[in-house]
Amino acid sequence: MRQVHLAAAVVAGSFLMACASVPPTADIAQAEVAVKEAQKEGAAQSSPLALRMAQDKLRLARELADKGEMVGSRRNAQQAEVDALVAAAEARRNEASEALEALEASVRTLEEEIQHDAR
Amino acid sequence: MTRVEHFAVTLSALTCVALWIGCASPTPLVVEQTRQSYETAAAETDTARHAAVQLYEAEKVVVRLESEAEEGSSEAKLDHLAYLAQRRIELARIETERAVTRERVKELSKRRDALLLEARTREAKAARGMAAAEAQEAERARREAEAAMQRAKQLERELKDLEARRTAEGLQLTMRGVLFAFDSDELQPGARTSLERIAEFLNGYPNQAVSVDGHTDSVGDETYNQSLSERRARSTADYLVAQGVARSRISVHGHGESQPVAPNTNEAGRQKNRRVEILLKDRGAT
Repeated sequence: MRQVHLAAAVVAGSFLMACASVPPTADIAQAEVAVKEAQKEGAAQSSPLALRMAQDKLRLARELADKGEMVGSRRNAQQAEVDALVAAAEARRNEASEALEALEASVRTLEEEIQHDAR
Repeated sequence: MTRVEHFAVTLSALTCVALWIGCASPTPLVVEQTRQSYETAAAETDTARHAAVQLYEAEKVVVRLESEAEEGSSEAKLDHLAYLAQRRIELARIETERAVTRERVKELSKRRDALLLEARTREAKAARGMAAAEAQEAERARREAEAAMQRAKQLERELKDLEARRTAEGLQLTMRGVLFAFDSDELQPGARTSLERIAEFLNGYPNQAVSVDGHTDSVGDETYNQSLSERRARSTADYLVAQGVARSRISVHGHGESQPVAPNTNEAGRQKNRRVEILLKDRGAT
């Protein structure tokens, strides 16, 4: 009975060790790419909150990896990536909204001009 | 195994079962909420249409969250997966908003192009309308000028009948023939038609001075002929005034028998000399 317990503890422990000891390099790299992409889309102006969250979590992911806290590091890296994706998407959406507003203004002006001419 | 030991084993088994039930069922609230968010987003037509990929990515995370919950993963892990799922759902929503906005931009671009075309067409039409009005005005002016010229030509043709003659002083119209009865200053009916035409002609040049000169033949007393020529000139001038020629333009002169245009030795010559000349003075000569 005691041997079985020990064996189970060793298996579970080694499994946990494996998970916990490998740094989440791929997740951090993906988060870095996403943050850069968001910056390129102009998220710093257009969607500053989501971008800041992504940057903070990415930094935290690196710090935790250095400390050997791999689970926390991986989760922060993964969240940093989706935050950055949201920031980039918001930036693109806002750009489209601005284009629409400009277009609406120009159409309004044209309509007014034509109505004015028609009189 | 003692009774106490037996009790302890039973208790721990029951605890395990209770814990197991607690973990597996009911499903944690965060999992239900995440699934609910996903279903709400997926049910929207626009999202399904514009953000199919983002929805698919979101659902993958939701499914993983549900299976981790089944396996009794830690609350921290479930919260983490729920966060990822919520962000993926948000991505689908944002992408949908962008796609809808871009569709509206496309529609509005068409509308703007149509408006631009309309505005340009209107401008062109207005320009054409103005050009047409100008052309009409020019045509009207041309016709008026034409009509005035025709009228002037007509008058000049009529004046030829009146022996119009260009002199250094201006245009001289000579009225000959039976203008007056013998020894009378009263105009004969036949002379009136000619004078009316002359009056019309003179009225066409309202700013030019008119000189009316009476002449006689040499029959009779010279002083008397002088007086007769003056009376005839005056009578002619009066008639012109009655036809609308301003009196201030007209000067009246009698020359008696002093300026014959033909010999007084025969009747034909004498008739030529019994005349009234009307001079439309050139501007420089006034």
